[in-house]
Amino acid sequence: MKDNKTGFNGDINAHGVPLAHRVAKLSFLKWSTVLVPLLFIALTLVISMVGIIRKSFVGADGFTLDYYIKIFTEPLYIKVLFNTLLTGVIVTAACLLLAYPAAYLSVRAKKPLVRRLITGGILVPYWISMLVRIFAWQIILQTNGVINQALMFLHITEEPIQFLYTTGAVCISMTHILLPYMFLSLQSNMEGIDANLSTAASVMGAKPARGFVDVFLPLSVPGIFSGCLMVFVLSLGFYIAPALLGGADNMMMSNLIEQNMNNFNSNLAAAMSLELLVIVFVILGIAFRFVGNIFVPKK
Amino acid sequence: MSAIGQSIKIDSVSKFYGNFQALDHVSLEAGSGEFLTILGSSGSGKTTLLKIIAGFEAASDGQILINGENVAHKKAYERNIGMLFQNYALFPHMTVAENIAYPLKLRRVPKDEIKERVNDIIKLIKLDGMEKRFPKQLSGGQQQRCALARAIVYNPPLLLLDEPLGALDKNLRHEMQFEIKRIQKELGITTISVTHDQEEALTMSDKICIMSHGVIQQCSSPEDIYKEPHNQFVAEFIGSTNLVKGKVVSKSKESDCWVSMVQTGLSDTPIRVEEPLGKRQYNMEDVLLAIRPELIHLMKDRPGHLNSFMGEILNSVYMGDYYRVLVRTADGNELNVKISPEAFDHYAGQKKLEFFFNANCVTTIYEREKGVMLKLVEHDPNDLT
Repeated sequence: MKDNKTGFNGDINAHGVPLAHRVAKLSFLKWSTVLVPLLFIALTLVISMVGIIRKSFVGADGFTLDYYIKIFTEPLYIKVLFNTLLTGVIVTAACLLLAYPAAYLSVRAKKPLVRRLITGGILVPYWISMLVRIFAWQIILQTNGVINQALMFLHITEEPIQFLYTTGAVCISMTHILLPYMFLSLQSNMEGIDANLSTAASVMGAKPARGFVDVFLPLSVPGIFSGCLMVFVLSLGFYIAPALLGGADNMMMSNLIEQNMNNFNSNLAAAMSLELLVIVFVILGIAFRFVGNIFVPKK
Repeated sequence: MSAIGQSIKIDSVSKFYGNFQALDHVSLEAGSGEFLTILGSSGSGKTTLLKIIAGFEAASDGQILINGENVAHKKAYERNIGMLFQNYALFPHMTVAENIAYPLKLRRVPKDEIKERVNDIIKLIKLDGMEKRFPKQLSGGQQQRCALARAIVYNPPLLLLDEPLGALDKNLRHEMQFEIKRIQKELGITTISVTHDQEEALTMSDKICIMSHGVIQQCSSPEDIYKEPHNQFVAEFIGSTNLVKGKVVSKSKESDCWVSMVQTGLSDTPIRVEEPLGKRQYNMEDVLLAIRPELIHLMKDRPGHLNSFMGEILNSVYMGDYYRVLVRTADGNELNVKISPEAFDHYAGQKKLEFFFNANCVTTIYEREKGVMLKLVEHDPNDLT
């Protein structure tokens, strides 16, 4: 502390600790809040991913592409992949059709109560266990379930209809589960659309429907994109719903992966997992480019 | 271009929200090509009135006549009105040109004509070269020009302005005031503007309607509003004013004016008040005299002036082109006075000074007009006119 007269060591604070040192200490603390989660992800995700990648290329006899050849050539695997994508498309479309009007009404509702009721009605199921909801659908859709009983009572059908173990049943329950994601995405986008714009369109002579198509709809496109993206990507990895409500004919990727795991074909399961992962990455990549670009004006 | 504006008449329009009466038999009129401003503070009902004219809300009672035709039951999109929104409401996904073309597209104007008219209006509004920009790429002033262009491109008979300059900074506001006025005059569009900014109202309007509590307090030219406020609310709302209590001693009708002698606490002799013959006079003793600060002068060259009084300077603030001086009168009243820097310097140091004002610079406000709610009674026994 004695050489402090010159002022060259001006960075020394009252406690005698060099300022730079304290900053370093602080920034270490700050960075550690990021580093700890990163480390956790590295340990759990990256290491296991490396294992999966290795497994998909390395069989009992060393490096091989057999697993990939199999999943891209064998009809069962192609069919399951197609079925997974189709289910995703149906569920995404259904979610969009159901959530869009609800989100629109909730945003345009004059009374806060109406808005809360709509939002609550869609979000409450979100807080109920997914498993419980899927079982509920099982009960509703089964051959002597509520729907079949009602249909037979009304003589619309004489014999119970097979709802369970069909693509329809899987789609219904997945739509039910994924609807809140679509709704929230649309709602947060629509909240940002100035209500005055629709009013302005109407003053200029646009009937409500025309104003909606010309003004509101194009401005809600970013919400539609992000909602569809989220729902579609999430739908690709669904396991429980197709396992409990679907049949052997409409298996999805996750079910087949699980089957392979249980049948000691973990190399095949690894290859399929990576296939799914790559599909998701490609979709995300294309979509982010696209969604990113609609905010930037055309040249 | 010839005038496209049509006359508008609001006839006894009322609006209730539940039990709350937002508008109470509001009537006003603007002739073809006139610029009318509805001036009021928030909650006065002015925005409600604008919404009713535009067709966003239905009136509970009354008529809205555009060129004699009642449009009260028409939807907003059937009224063919132009409107400039406070936050412009430009479509963010359309370019400047597309925004301006939108109302023409709705009217199925042929493409070539749309192009031509959009180009014309862009020149008029001075947005040349900005056609392909998006609203976000424009400055506040440019956005407003674009919004204005979009509101007038289809030659609406009536243009509504909702706080047109509220979102602009001070310099731009002055520029746009003149710009809007220039375009409005050039096209001859009948315009109704709603604002709480009195300077904006005074500079832009042909006619000002002051609104409060859902009632029109006064509807006249900017000069009349300023010089001849009909009631205390108007007097205090526009500019600053001094209100002095008094009792009418005598009243007579001369060839060109009403002359009232009013005894006040300002001086021992009564104050002489001259008012135009058109002003409504009542047979009442208690009055308020409204005197504008800039019309009170220091007694320099005119000793013995009739309306003079002694005052003591309490404090003074230099405002650049004048001093704002607080003067205490003999009876303890405090008056605001504007004094030119030369006159102020001339009398610097003197505490007690003599002031005067001209007889035709004072307005009487009667006790019965003091309240905010002015409802004119057609046949009044106290009415002298």
